[in-house]
Amino acid sequence: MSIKLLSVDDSRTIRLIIGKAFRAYDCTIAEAANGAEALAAAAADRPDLIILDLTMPVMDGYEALKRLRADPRLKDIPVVMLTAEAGRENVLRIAQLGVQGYVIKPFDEAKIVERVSKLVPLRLKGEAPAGQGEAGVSLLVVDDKPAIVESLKTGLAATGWKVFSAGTAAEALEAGARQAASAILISLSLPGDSAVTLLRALRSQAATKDTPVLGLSVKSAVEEQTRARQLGFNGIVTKPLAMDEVMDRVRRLLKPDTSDRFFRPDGPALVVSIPSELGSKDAIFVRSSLGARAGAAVDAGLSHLIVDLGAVHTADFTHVKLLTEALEVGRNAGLKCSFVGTAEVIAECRNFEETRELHFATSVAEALAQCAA
Amino acid sequence: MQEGVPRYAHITMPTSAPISKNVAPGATVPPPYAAIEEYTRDAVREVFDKMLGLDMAALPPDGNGSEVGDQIIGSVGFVGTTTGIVHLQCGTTLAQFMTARLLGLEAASVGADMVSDAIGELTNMVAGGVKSRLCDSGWTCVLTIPSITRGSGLRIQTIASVKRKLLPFYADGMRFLVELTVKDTTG
Repeated sequence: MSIKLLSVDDSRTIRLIIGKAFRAYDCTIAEAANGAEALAAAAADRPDLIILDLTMPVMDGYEALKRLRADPRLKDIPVVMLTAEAGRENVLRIAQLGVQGYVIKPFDEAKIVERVSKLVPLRLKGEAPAGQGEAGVSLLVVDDKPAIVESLKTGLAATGWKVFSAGTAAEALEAGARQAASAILISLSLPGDSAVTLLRALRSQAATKDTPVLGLSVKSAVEEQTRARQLGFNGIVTKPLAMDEVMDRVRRLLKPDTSDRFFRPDGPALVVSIPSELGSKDAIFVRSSLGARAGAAVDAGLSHLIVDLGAVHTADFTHVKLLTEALEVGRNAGLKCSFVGTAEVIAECRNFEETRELHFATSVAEALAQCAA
Repeated sequence: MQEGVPRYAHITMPTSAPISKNVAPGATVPPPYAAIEEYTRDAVREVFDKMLGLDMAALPPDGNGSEVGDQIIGSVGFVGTTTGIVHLQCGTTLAQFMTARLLGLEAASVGADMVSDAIGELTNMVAGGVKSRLCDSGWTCVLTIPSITRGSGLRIQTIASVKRKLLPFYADGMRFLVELTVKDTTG
C-alpha cells in the first residue's frame, strides 16, 4: 500500500523539491501551505508522516505541531521538521516539541528521503515485494542504438526481467524518475561525455544514488572502460553483447553475496581462503562462485588468483577438484594462478594427476611476493 | 521512548556553524563586517552545493555591480544585534537555469512565478545560513520575509550609514552576485 506523506511549507519551491525527492517512491504526497491547512488536511485524510516547515504565515510549524499533538486522532503521526532555523537554540526548541526528526535547509534530497525512510516503510515504485525473486528485476538501458536495446530485450526475455530504455541522458533521467530500475546499463559511446554526466546525475538523485550502473562498451575500448570504472561505474559489459555475461553481471550486482567469507582481495590478487574443514556444500559454493568472483576481480583490475590451502590439514579429492577448477577459471579470466599449502597438502596433491604439476608457496605473503616479482 | 534513553537522543546538533571562540553568547556589540562577509560566503557555498550540486567559487569582491539585461534580485534582511540585507542578484536566464536545476525540470518548462519563488527560497536559505552562524556566535537576529525585484539595469543604492560589498561567485561558466549591505554602527 502506498505511503501517504503530507508536505507542509509556504514555499512552493520546497513543496516541488519534496515532490521530486519522493517521485521514485511508492507514495502519495498531499500539500499544505501553512499550519492551518496542514491540520485540516491531516484530519481529512490521515497521513503516515508529515514533513513540516517551521516558519510559515497564518499558522507556523510550532503551533501546528502543538495542536497536532493535542489531537488524539493525529498525535501519533510522525513529524519531520524541515527548517532553515539551524541555530543551536532553535534545534533544541525543535527537539523539545517531540518531533521524530529534522532536516535543516539547505538540504539534499537524499537526506530527507533517508529521514523519512527511517520512520515509514518507503518502497521504490515497481520494487518487487520480498521473496518475489527475479520477476521484479527491471533494467534501464540507455543507448542511442535501438538495435542494442532490442537485442537486450530479446536476449533477456526468458529471465522475466523488465527491460525499458532511453535514447539520451535526459530521457534516462525522466525514465528513472518514473520507474525504479534494479540496475542501469549505459552505453559509454553516447555522444560527448553524456554517459559520465548521466552517471553523476544518477548518483546525485536520492532514488538512483545506490542503483548499480554498468557501462556498455566495445571490447577494444580499453581506455574508455578503465576511465568509466574510475569514475564510478559498477562494472563493464562488452559489446558485442553476450546475454550470459549480461545476466551474470546484473545478478552479481543485485544479489546479496555471502561469498566474502571465502574470497578477499589482497594487493594485486584475489585470495580464495579454504577453511580447515571444507564441507561439500561449501566446496560447491566456492566452485560455483569462482567464475563470478574471478570476473569481478578482473573488473577491479586484479591480476592474480591465489588459492590458499594453508589452513587445510589433509587434502582430498574435493580439494583437488577445487584447485583444478580454480586453475581453469583463472586461466579463462586471464588471472595468473598461485597456490598455498602446507608440506602435507603439497605431498597429497602430488598423488593426483590433476594437481601433480602445481607449484605451491608456503604462505599467502610468499605467493604475493611472487606476484610482485 | 525507550527507558534510559535521553528524550533528545535522536536529535544531533548542527555542525555547520561553529560557535566563535571570541564572542560570548548574547553579545551586544555588533559583529565585524568581515565576519558577516565570511558567513555569507560560507552560506552561499553550502546552499548551492546542497540544493543545486554546484561547487561555487567565491571571487574577490569587485565593483561590477549591475548585470546587464533582465535581472532578478532576491532580498532577505536580518535584524537584531546586527542589521543588514542579503541580496542575490543574477540575470533571468541564469535564474531560470538555477530554478530548473533546483526543481529537476527542463529550463523551458520553468515559468516566471517559479523562478521568483525559487530565487526567493535560495536567498532565504542563504540569509538563514548567515543568521544561524550569527546566532551561534552570540549575535542574535531574526530574518525578514523574502522579496523579489525584477527589471532591467537594476542597481542597489545605499545610504551613507550602510556598508556595502559585492561578492561575486562563479561555477560552470556562470557568474552571479551576492550583495551584502550591513548597517554601519562604527560611526
